[in-house]
Amino acid sequence: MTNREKVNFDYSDDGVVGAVKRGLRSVTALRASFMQLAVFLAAHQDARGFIVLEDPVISDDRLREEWAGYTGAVLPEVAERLSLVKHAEREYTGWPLRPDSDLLQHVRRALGQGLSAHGFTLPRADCPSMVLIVLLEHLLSGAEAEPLTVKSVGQRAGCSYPSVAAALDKLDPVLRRTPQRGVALRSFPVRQWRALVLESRNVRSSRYYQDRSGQPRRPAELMQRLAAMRLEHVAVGGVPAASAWYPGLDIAGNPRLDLCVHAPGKQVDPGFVQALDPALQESDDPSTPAQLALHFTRSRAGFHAELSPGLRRAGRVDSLLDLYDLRFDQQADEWLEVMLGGVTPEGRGQ
Amino acid sequence: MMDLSPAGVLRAIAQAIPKDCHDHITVIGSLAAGYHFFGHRPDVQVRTKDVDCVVAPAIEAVARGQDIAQRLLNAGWTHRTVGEFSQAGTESDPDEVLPAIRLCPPGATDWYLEILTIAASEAQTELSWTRIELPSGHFGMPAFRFSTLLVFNPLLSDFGLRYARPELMALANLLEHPQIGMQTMSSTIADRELKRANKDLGRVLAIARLSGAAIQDWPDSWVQALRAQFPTTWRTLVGQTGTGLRVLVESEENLEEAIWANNNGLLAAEPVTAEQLKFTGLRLLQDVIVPFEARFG
Repeated sequence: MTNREKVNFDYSDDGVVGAVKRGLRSVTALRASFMQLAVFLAAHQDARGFIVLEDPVISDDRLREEWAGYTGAVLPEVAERLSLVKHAEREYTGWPLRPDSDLLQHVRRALGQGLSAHGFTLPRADCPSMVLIVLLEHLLSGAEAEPLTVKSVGQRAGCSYPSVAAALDKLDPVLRRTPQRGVALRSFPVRQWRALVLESRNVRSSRYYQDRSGQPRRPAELMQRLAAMRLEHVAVGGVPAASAWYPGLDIAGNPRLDLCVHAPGKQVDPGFVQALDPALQESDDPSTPAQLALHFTRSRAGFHAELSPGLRRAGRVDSLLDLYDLRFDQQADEWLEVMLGGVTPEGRGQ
Repeated sequence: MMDLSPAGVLRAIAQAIPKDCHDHITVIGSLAAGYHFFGHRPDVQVRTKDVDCVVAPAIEAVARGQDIAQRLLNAGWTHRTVGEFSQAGTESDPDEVLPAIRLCPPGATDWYLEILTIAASEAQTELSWTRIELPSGHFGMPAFRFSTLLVFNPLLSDFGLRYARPELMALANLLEHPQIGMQTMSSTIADRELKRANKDLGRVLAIARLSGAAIQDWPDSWVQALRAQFPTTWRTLVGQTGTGLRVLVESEENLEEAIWANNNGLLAAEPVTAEQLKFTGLRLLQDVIVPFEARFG
């Protein structure tokens, strides 16, 4: 996206563009914004767009009817990447569906609801690492026999096609490509895996939180509170997730709650940490144990599994990385070997 | 101020006061809280100078107060003769300037028992004084506005004496101080003059800290007591539960006084930092008070 293109929209961040209309009274402006967005999305196949109406004066029935008419007039591959969102009386509704949590983050920022005092900007996305995580998750889930499409890799990694293509080129020695543009790891990428483990804190922009009350809450209690929040973009990693993936994991207790936070954009707002426990404050003091660790990822690889009611389970790769971060190297190595069919990573390597 | 064993003091008072008077007394304050949290630990003592005993019901306060005071005096307890308000009052003194009944145990003068009573009705909004005449002179029994909460569903000690529920002592202090007023304590704490609000709201934080996860049960106890003791105004009171505490936790200066009071009082055995107490307060507000205000206010 060029800077000029960004200027044409009220909102633009990381492949998502949006138009904001406040107090809309006529559909003329809505129609004009729709066409502008549709033209843009037709030219940018990986982009996503939305129009958010704040306190519109137009009825929901009329909005639904208009939207159906607009989307019916454009190509399906464009229409499926466009959303209409209404914000009124602190509620969000949308067409064709209520916005998911990812889109909602963009919409809220577009409306200037902005970041809390705890928000910050992530560094530039590390797409090669995200692509590697997606492929590793695919391999470790035992599904490598069914290659992923390049498009699917991009969607799961949260990266654009060119970035994915470049990342795949670098992984070529360990990749299996199919004529149908499918890809999968044909051997374990030992060198890249070791680098990922070493650099996981940077790759995932990990942040650590320590209790300042002198009465730290146990990870189990924090998990209970998290479950009540039902956050779609947060998954539990670390020991609980690893134990769920691999019941034979030899770790007693849980020293820290590790959470994987899906962050498709640059701006993140972990304000939910304060709702978990206002006594948790971010710290970069490695000498004092952290009660909570947040790991941010653009990839939703393995994000869908349930850990327990109200809690999602982080993927195998993220959970493994958490174990290494917790210094449970031996247990992590053992689990990885089990997933590789009882063979060491080097044994499954090229 | 001295370090007292809560269990030891309660035992001494229970033995000195006849059993037929026990039902009309509720021990409150730091000694009550200390007994609740540390009574089973003989190594832990609470730093305090007085043991507050509330006599109820209000309609019988004078007769009961006279009976209890006289029995203690007959058992060798003596009027406290040092510090402010140590001289007995006279018939001509207005109620509000009468000294409180403060009795020292036999052979000790470092701590004393003070007799209070409860508000006569929900309509009382200010501190009141009830005159009580003893052979030694005229005295007053103070009654704070929210004192009726302190005698609601009290807990029973091992010695037969009742003591106030910690969460209701906390609630009474929260409601008593919707703001940080300028009034200071009548006596110093560790040689320092403190605002009464900071000491009382600080006590709320100390009780919350010592209660741990049990604070989750506070709202149910609170609403039960408020409905019973303030049947026509309880909803309004719910709405102001956290008003003063919010000011305290965000004020470094006031929090520092609260720390001083606690580390020289209820938390003397496990002193805390200002940061730790602040986060105790933020947890209490977020997890208990805000939902309580929203749900019942």
